[in-house]
Amino acid sequence: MTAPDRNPIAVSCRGLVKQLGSGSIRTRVLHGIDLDVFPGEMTFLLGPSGCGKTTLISTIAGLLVADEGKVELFGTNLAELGRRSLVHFRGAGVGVVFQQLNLFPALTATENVAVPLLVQGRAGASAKALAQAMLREVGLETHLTKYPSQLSIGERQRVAIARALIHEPRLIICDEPTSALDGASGQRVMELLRKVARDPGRAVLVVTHDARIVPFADRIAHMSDGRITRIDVRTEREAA
Amino acid sequence: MLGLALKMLFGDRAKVLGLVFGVAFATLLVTQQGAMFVGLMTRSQNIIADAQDVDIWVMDPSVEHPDLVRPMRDGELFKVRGVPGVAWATPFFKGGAPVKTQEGRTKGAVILGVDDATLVGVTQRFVIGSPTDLQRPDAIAIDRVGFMQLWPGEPLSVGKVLELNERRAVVTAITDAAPAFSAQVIIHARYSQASSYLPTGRNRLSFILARAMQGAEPSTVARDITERTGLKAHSSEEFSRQTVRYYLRNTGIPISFGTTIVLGIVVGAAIVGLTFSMFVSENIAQYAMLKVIGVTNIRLVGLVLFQACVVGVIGYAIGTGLAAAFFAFACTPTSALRGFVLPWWIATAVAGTILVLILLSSLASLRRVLVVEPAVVFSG
Ligand SMILES: Nc1ncnc2c1ncn2[C@@H]1O[C@H](COP(=O)(O)OP(=O)(O)O)[C@@H](O)[C@H]1O
Ligand SMILES: [Mg+2]
Repeated sequence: MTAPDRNPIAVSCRGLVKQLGSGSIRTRVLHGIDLDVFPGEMTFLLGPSGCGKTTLISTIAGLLVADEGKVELFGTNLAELGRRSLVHFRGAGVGVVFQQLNLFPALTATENVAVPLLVQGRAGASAKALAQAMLREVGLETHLTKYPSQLSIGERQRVAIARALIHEPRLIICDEPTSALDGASGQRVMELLRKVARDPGRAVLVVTHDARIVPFADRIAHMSDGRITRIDVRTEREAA
Repeated sequence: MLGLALKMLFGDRAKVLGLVFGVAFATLLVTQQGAMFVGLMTRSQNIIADAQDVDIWVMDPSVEHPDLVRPMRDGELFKVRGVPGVAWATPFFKGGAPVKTQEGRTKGAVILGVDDATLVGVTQRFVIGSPTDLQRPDAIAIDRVGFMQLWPGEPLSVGKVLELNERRAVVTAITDAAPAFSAQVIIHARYSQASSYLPTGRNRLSFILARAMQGAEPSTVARDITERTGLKAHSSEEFSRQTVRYYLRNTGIPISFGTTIVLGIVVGAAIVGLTFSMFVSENIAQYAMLKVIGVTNIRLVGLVLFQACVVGVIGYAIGTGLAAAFFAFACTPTSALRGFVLPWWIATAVAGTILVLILLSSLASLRRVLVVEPAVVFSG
């Protein structure tokens, strides 16, 4: 099954090869990855630790440059963008949540979420208002002025997701969003992401090896040893 | 964005303190020592500065600065008066003698004798009395701080009697004469009287103070005096410069101050450089995250420089404030450090130095921010 015709492919990887490290420890981490991610869908990247998932999403997000093959985001070939345009393109079009979250410890939840808007030149007051609205949407209305250190891990995860969503990027990438969360918090975070993925213009790519959240996936790319071994497409959601 | 940079900076309180301390330390040390040095150099020219009505200083060819004089023959005064372009010329005596109060307190004094009739070369700053009070018998004027040293705790007053080399002198005026290089009592008297306090031979003429005729250039007239008399002659400005140059070349003062100043800069730079590079590397993940969010390298450089400059401005303000406080509180007109001030141009020069120091110390850290690969920071 393919995506509805009206939507372009959000992510298209063809023959991606990436080596990491240098000298004698230089190893091939990605061995020719082909992967499509479609808007309006939640795509899972499932695989054991060390198989190259983080490397793959970093390459998709334009944080690493592929050694071979190509990455297209919504029809734009990343290799054809200059350095600066790539930074702007990523800033505007991609929201990334890394495993360590990387919240700014000196900023409140609201300020953290406002950063992408400030980076894009929006005025402080309106950025703050939007950030607060976004935090309400992820259920953190009572934590607006708290610092990351005052929040639970689940709450931090939601702040990080709110920060990735605030500027309405068309592609959201989450690396292991539930690995540090208990079952209930994990469900909550996934429901939030599924709501985003229901938007026909936006795609969500989730890296995980957490079996508990697999039911949220529309499409599952199984990864092993730097290769995509199988892609499962689920149709139950539409049927349900 | 700048607000974000500020919060990021002040979120790391320990390092901000270290950075501000480093900058403040360097600023204080360099400013204070620099100003003290300038103050000392100013003191070396004190009698030149006080003789405001004088254009030209004439002296024995071997004299290099006002603190070491070699008397000339009295007749030289008339030769100088005869040089074309000289409007007038008066004798000036400078010597040292112990001064003793009736209570028995003794101090070293520098005695300045000015022309009996015209009083040319006397300081213009009188606290009590005026130059004409020197015309009275046995009259001397003493500087305020000297008075306070000789009669501690007593209010300034005239009428006190002193012994100068066992000769009687009466304080008839109190001055605020520019302080000498060494902390001595400064006494002004008439030439005839001043020179009589000292057991000199026939020659007692330390300097000849002259004025160029209207329209004549003092330095040109000074050259003419040298040509015609064989004496050394300088315009006041030249003599000031010569004096400073002498002290720079022939004393340990520049080296000792220079060492402290260089040390202040080096230690400050080391503290700031190390702390800043620690700050950057400990927060490298935050810079990397900013890159992910869409901050270009150029903006990141701006952010880092802004953070460094904020630290620099705060540290500089504290350091300069402390230095200014030092000069305000320790260098009052009645203290041993009177006359020392913080010149604006030293504060400006130090600001420039600190700016360079800040830029250099953030440069090394900047490189790390530029090359940081978010993917490497976040692979986990
Ligand atoms: N900078 C690096 N240099 C060399 N090897 C690396 C580097 N980063 C990751 N690797 C290796 O690449 C492989 C894939 O890493 P990663 O993409 O983080 O896997 P995953 O996210 O699936 O756990 C791992 O075996 C890891 O050891
Ligand atoms: Mg990983």
